[in-house]
Amino acid sequence: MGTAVLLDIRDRQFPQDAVDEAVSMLHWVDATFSVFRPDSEISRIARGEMSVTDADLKVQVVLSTCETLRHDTAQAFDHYHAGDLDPSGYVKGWAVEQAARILTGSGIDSFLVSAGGDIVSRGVPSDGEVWKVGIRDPRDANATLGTVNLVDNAVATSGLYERGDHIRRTRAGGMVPASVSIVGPDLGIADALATAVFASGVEDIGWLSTFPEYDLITVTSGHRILRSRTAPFTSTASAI
Amino acid sequence: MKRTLSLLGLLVLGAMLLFNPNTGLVAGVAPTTVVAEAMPSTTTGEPPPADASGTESMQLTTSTTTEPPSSTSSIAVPATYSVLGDGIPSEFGIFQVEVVIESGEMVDIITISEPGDRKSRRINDEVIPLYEEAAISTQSADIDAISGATVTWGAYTASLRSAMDDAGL
Repeated sequence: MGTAVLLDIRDRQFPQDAVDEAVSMLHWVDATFSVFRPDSEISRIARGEMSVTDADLKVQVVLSTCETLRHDTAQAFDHYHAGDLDPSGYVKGWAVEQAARILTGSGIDSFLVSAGGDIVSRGVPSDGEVWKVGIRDPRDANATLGTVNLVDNAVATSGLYERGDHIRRTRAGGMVPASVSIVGPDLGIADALATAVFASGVEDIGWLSTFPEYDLITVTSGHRILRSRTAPFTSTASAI
Repeated sequence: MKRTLSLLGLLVLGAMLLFNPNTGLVAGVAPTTVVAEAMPSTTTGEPPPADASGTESMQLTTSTTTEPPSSTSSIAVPATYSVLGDGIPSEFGIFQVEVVIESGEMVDIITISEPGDRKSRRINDEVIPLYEEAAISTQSADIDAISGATVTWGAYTASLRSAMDDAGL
């Protein structure tokens, strides 16, 4: 993945073994799913050197979930985009979700795992507080749109932050937001949905209503903040 | 002799930090006010703390109004002042921020110290402006992470939180 992963654990004491296990699991995911490693199972499947049924069980589960997501997003999420197998849009979030499961399974209650800005939260940072995560502004890499409160759920942001032109036009003339954030219970699905909205543009996301547990936060072509009615989002004054 | 040299080193470092143009003290303010208050703590002959970098001056609250420095006994809080947060060690180096407060509102956050290796600098360039903007627009240090930013700097937020606590924000 080539992604920095941050573990912010707030339990006063926790087993280091669990952290080590989570880290080695993430390395395993990288070695198995990376499209940049010619020897990964995904690369071998993509080249036709390995059949899916011979792959690791987790690879089979991931690819099966990608199929379902492809269908449910009207192909806006496509792990075969440009013809080549590339499940990265789901895998990164899925891997972080697996890491969170390892930590929870070891009795760690309060933590946040962030992989390149895709974040899973569990518990609370301290008594009476909730995890607060800023949402990066698609129009300005140095600004946030506002914050979301995370309670045992996740947020993924998909997009590019190159300086200059932050909003790309689609061929049809519609606007593609430079980033899309999705909040919901599972980071893998949130990651995939963010990738899908980013790819298809915000004008054509009727399929998103089939994911009622997932909320969208982005910016429209008219530079208005577009968010789901139920998004746990607080806008900042400077974003308006 | 070595000891004197290291003290001098600390002083130079302190002066560099305080005079760093990036610290951009509020307009019309004499930065010497800060130095005058900071100096004694580093020249008393106290051995530097084991974790170095002049942490003893980190609780420093500096008035940045145009009032003379002798007004330290004044109880009234100046309209514009700044507070230094704690220096918080991270895996790569120490983070420390200064918070500028105007009429009870945080108007600017100045990064006093940040990890300086090449990789950290690249990450800092991406992450610090984001945290700074988020903290000022929400008037809080409660942002635990930012979705869409590659890395989270807990140490930056921790230093910011300490400064805001000290300022009663």
